[in-house]
Amino acid sequence: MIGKNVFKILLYIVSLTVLYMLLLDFTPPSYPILLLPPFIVGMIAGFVSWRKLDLLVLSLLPIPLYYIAFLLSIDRVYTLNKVLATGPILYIPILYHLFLAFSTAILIYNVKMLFGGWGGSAEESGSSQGSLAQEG
Amino acid sequence: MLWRYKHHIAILISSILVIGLFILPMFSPLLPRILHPLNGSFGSLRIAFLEGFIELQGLESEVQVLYDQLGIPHVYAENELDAYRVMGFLHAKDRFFQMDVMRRLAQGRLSELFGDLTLDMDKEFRQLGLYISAYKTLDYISNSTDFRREYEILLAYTDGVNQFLRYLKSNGIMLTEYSLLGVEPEEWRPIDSISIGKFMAWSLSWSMEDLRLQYLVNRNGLDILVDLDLLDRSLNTPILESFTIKTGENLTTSVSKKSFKEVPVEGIVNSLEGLEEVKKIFGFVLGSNNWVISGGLTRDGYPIVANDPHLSLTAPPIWYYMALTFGDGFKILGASLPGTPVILLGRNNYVAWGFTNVGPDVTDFYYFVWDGDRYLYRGEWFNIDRRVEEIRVKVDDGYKVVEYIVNETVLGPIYEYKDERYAMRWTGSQVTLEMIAVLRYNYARNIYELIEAARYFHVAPQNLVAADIEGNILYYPAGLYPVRNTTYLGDVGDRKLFNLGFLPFNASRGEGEWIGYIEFEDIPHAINPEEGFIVTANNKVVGKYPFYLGWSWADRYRYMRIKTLLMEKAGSLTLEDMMTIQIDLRSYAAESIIPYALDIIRDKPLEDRYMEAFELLDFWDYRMTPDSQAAPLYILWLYNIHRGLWGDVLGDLSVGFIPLETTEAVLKGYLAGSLGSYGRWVGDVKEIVYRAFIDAVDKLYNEIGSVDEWRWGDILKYNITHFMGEALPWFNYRVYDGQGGFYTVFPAGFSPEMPPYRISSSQSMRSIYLLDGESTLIYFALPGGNIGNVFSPHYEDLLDDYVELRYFKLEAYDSPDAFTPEYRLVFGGG
Repeated sequence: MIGKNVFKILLYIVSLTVLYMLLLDFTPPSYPILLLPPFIVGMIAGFVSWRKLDLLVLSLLPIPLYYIAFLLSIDRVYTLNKVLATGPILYIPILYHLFLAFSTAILIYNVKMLFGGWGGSAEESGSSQGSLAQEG
Repeated sequence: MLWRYKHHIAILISSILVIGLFILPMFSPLLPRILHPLNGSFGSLRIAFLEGFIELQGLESEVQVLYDQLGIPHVYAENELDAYRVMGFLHAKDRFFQMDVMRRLAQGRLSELFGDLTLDMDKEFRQLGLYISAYKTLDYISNSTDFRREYEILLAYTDGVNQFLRYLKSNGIMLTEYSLLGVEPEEWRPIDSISIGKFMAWSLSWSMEDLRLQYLVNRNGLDILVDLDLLDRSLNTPILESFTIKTGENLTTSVSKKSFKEVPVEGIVNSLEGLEEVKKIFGFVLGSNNWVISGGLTRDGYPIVANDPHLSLTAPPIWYYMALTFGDGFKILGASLPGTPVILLGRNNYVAWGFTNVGPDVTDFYYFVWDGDRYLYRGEWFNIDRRVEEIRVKVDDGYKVVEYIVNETVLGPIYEYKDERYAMRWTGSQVTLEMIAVLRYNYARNIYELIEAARYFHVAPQNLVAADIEGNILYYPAGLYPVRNTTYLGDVGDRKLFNLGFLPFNASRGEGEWIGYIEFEDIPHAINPEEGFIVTANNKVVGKYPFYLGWSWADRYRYMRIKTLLMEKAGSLTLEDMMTIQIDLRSYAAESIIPYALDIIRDKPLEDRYMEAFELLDFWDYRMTPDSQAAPLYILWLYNIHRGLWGDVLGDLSVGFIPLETTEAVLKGYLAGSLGSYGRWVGDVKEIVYRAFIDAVDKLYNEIGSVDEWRWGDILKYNITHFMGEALPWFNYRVYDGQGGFYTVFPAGFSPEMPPYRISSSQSMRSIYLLDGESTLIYFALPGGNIGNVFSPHYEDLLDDYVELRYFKLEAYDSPDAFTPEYRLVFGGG
């Protein structure tokens, strides 16, 4: 059971990471559209999370994972060093996206909690149904 | 109680955060540009490894491009226009930002990218009107049936550039520089290539030496021109001893009566210093070297051409190496100039060529009698022509338009500072056809076709050296050299002095009119000279010759050093010898001057630190390697001596205005007991040399430390920067220890006043070509990388070898199957 839950979390993380990657690819670099990828990832993370732990994991992991994969995909040391040398130009968007995704996730999650969990009971309502931690 | 409302509070706070994060970029111009890394600030990463098939409209057949391990593209096309179309695409892919900056610089439109920061520079170039002469030139070329082939090439090239820009747009990619600037790249037009050519020509030929010389004369009188031998430069060694006019038609000039006037120039000279600084962005600062040797002097019996142009060191470098193969196996390879469809310095299957700057006097300044805004020209009154320039300047939310008025006379634009008003005339302000010339060099099959092509090389005149596979060698400093009506200035001793063009003219009296240009056949040149070689290093073109070419030649030291090294092994010279010469760090200037300077102060008592420094120089081998301890002292001492001898004479002019040869002559004259005509201009030579030495040692002790810590490579650095490198340091190259000096064959250009030093100019590339009729090889080095994409592994991969004095080999193979590329692009589409 624990394995199945871990599998589900992992599946969500991977899915959100892939979704973030696809959204980045198809989003033009024009403001404010360029903020949609983290916003959408945050929305989905907030929607599917039923516990604080889910919320943290699903809103905070996909974006850094994407950038780690992006950096690892650079197979030329010179290019990798150059990307890392850009400093704030690399870190600011990562942190900004992360913060936006996280804030959005918190927003959606709490809206959901406020209106009774939407089709499943939340941890706080004491229900044992609908949690990612549970089977089925 | 609050706990009951935790969700409400969380919703409130997170809503504020989300809304805040969405609207924050509205208040920061930079933030929106970096918030989409992949398609924004890392957009160039998507282009850095571009390979595979690319659709390119307008191709008649498929074109293959193989990038070798050095990042150099080898283009294989069926026909010429396909090759040039792809050339445009590759230039844009690998160097678009550089091309864009160059065209905007020339056209006075940099502020559309950089805002107010570059507004003054744009005003300077609107005043110069380079874009106007570029339009005249393009109009001429496009309407002439003689240049149909070259015009088609220009159009194909332009189309290739624009297809790359469309490729970016259709794939949602922004190049990093544009993403950070928040500007869309603008399409390329044929006028842009012509503009870049004009800018290069301007940076290599425009000068305000006439005004500086007038300042010197105002300060010291006409005598100084003769006493310091500034005009004749008899201490300089000319490329050709003499040349007899061939056409027999001597342009007859008239001479107006005595007309020397001390016209004020100080303000103008200061105000134009900014424009001189702009020349250093891409242009000539130090001069260049080239030489050609016939097969009779080489071990293997084939001629060799060597060339190392000295220009500003930039990231990326000025040059982009490539090889084109098309048609019946015709190959052109070498250093291309991004933004233009030419291999500017290189070779093909049959010929190889190289340039150094002649540096002639092709710019004149004129003063007038004024009545308000009317000026008297040749006895007639004219009104100033006013040209209103509208300069678009980038601001946060778009552009603003700044109006700039340019005042012009019939002779050219007016430069003014308070009551100083001068019109400027430059040979490049008219239709000039250098692009035609160089394209025809690219497909020349022997030196005689090169000579015919050189007829179109108008500005800036270049010392062209070349060889062909038949064994012929050539020297031709082709260009437009104006012949002026002269003015009698006065008598200096028993010499009658005439203004041939080296001082401003009184245009109200019709002085200094350009009555024509030296006939092409009358330009000093040599075909298969008896000596079997020609060397040029920006030194005087010719000794005995009836026309005035100029006076501001480079000192003879590089020339003499190269010539000496060639003569040492004449008859058995090899490619390796050419390399040894090109990377030579021994200063012939130091060898010519330091022993005399040391002898002058040898009897002066010196305390320990000064004696240690003295002995360092006394036993020095004159090599300016990174490990040299003596080089820093030599540079500072020489600067101090030069400044000490000529400071009063020069006033505000820079130390380099007086040739070093003159200082050498003074030191030798002092030791010989006779200063001759120099005597009245210099003070106590011994005291000057002594104080210069003490000051140099003290400065080094204060700035660097004791003698043991003096190391040339620690004080002089290669610190090559990108145009945007001040704001974005990761665009700049790594820093390396420097080497060389102003007068070494492998030079270093820097400001010597106070260490540490940064090399601003040096060999912008070095190339050697062997004309054996079988291979199409170039041995070369480049101070950076071939690809201007900051994320490409070829951004600066050649710099190490350049600094370490090594060479690479570039060969144009017969077919794309002949070598294994690093990666490949295939263009098709039709």
